[in-house]
Amino acid sequence: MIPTTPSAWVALLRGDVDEFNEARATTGSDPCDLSGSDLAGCDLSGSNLSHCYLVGADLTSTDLHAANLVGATFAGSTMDEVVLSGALLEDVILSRCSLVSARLDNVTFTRTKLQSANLADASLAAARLDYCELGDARLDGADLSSTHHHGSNLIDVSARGVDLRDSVLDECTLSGANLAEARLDRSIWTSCAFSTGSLRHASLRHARLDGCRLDGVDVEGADLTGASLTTSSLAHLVNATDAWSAS
Amino acid sequence: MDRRDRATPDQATTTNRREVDPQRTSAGPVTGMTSMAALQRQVGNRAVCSILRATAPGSGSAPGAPAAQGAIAAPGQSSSTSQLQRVVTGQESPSQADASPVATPQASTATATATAATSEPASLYGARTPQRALIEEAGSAWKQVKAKHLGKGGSPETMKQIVDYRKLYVDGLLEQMKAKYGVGARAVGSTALSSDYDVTFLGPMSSAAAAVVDFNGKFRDDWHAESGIVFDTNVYAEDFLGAKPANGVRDDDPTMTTQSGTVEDAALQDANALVKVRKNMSKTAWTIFVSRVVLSLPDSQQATARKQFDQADATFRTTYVASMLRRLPPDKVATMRRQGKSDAEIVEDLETGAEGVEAANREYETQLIEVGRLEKLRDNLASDVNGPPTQHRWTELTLQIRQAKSKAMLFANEPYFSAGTLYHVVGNMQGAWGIKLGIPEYFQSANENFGDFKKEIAHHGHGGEVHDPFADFVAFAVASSKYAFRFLDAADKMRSAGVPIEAPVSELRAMEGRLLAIRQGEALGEDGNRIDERAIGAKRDATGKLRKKDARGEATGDLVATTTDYSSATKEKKDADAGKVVGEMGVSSIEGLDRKFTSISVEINVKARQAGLDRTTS
Repeated sequence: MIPTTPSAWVALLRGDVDEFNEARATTGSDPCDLSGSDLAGCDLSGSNLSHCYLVGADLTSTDLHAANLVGATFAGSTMDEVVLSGALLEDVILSRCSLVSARLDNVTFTRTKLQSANLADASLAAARLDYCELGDARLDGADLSSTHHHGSNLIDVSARGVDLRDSVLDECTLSGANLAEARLDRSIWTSCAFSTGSLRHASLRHARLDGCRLDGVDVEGADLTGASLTTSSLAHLVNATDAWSAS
Repeated sequence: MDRRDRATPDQATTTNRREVDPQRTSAGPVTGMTSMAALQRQVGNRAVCSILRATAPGSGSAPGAPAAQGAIAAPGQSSSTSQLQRVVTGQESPSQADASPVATPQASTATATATAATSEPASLYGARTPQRALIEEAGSAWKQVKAKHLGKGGSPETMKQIVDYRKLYVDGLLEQMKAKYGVGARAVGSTALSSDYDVTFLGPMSSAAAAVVDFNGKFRDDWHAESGIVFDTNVYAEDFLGAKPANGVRDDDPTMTTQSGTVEDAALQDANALVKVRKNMSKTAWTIFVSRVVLSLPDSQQATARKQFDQADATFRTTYVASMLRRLPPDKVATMRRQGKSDAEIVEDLETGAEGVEAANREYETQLIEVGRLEKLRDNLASDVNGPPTQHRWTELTLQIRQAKSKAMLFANEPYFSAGTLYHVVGNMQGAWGIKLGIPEYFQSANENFGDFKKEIAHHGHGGEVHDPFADFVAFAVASSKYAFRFLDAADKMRSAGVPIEAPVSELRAMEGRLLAIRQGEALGEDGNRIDERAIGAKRDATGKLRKKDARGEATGDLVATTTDYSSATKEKKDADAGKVVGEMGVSSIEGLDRKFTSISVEINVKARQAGLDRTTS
């Protein structure tokens, strides 16, 4: 029985993920609108939500482990403490979502939109973010250790106290980003644009920031012990005298 | 190479606003009779007539297809029915069909009986004709076809036959799509043998997107290559903006109902315009350009400006580069990465080749399908749009549709990205809409058209060895005058509106206007400047003379005084006059012209920001 209304689709999804997946396979590319639905706390692991619309949905503490979310839209949804490990996250729209304390470890985000999303205290350890949009996102206190970022837009992110230790940031744009008190030890930055942002009291011990643009970045109290800044542009670096000498 | 055509004013929600190259609207000499007669002999009268019946206005107006009557009538536009019938009877070449609504379902009692013809397949599809053989001999690449038949030792008459064949082939395939998907279509014809022949499907996006996908797929099945490569024909669906506003002011988006929404959208449009500049520059050129602008600004404005440019660069990377990369051959991408090239450099290297065109087409189709899905969802809300939750979702979906369309345009061939540019060029310059625009719109247009000028530079010179650098430069100056003129027109209007631009943009605009007149076969007035035929309401009569239009739009009014008319000028005359113009401009090379316009663009970007146009998206 193929659902004919959004509420029937939601009921099917809540009741039996396998049947939901079968119904979706039958309907092909028809848009599946689950916007505004309450799916909080549901076990939706393995569900096929690709190209579904869940705008403004409640997915608090929902288990989306190994779900297929390719091309799905979650704009403005509440997804606090959601579990996304093993999920397929290509071309997903998570803009303006609340993802506080979400579990996103080891997830690969490809061309994912996370503008203005709130990822405070989320766990993204060892995640990979390729060509993602995170402008104005909140990452305060999040765990992004050992993550890999390639080509992503992090303009104006608020990432106070974020853990980016042992991470790689390649060709990313971080203009205006607030990384105050961030832990960036042993991180590797290549060809990144980071101007007028803040690294106040951040720890960059043995970090490599080669070929980056760091114009106007405030480094007051930053720990740059053993850091490498080869061929980086450092014009107008702010409060540089307060930072530890870079090697 | 231009795919933008015109809006249909009666389309209030479904949108279409592309550009018509004025070059396409001038009637050329009747030279195609022989080639058309030959074509008829080759594929049979029945085949050609089938296509012509099917492509007549009103001939396939499937239920649900949008009406296109009242479309902005380009000067010189005429009934395609009678025009194409003249072609069949050997009175006219199809390439004289200027901006013809070839497959537009325009209601017409007189042609209503032709509707049933749409069920007949286009007979040129798969047909082995001599014209097709000529194209295949040139590697099934339009660039090579042009180089062979329009270049030294070539035969314009042969080229004309091939152009005629292209038009009939495309029109036939168009007609199939129109009947199958219930969409309208507009195929923009051309009088110039060197021009492209692009198609826009009109109607609900889900149907138009399906038509684009099917057209491209069928073409590939027949030719094993993209139509953009083989024919220089690209197919599109409607894009961004609404119809001509009735009250003379912009009114292009239903989400722009609040002040904050308007401001946010304006910043987004500014950013879109800068993405065009970034897309058409190398990384190095972009870095230098940005530095020149930023370092010319007061310290207090540098950070904001830097962020604007960074945003444009990031958008270019996360949308265009990222999406193209996944469509390009992985082995080639891997090899180039091993060579040390960045992803952006890889895309820049491959985007104009067959693989790049194919990648862009597939991504464009994907994005159109997504827009279609979103429109379907929004349509489902239409019955209860006033309820608070539904209103919120309507706005949310509309924003997403707008963003998805913006993204789609990145993969189309030569679109305008920003609303200000569309209003300036398509609305006011081409449609003579007379919409009141301000500095922000002209700023967007200046940036976009500068970006397109840079693209002209990037694409110039791929045709082979240059024997005469100055002649090559003059040819480039004429070819690029369309965008250069628009760039300078926008700059001149910014200056008139109070932006203290010191560069002589008015004078340069007039010079580029003369080059544009040469390019498009237009006339110069008594003051020596290009006559803007649309602006003054002029049109050529049957003898080619420029006359004022009467109330019905016919060229029956007074003669327009001209000093030079390039519609019938020889190539030698055009080359000589173009050489004089570039001499007056004080440049003698493409690099010199590039430096001159880049400096003006830098000044515009500095002065505009100093005038308060330093909006950023949130």
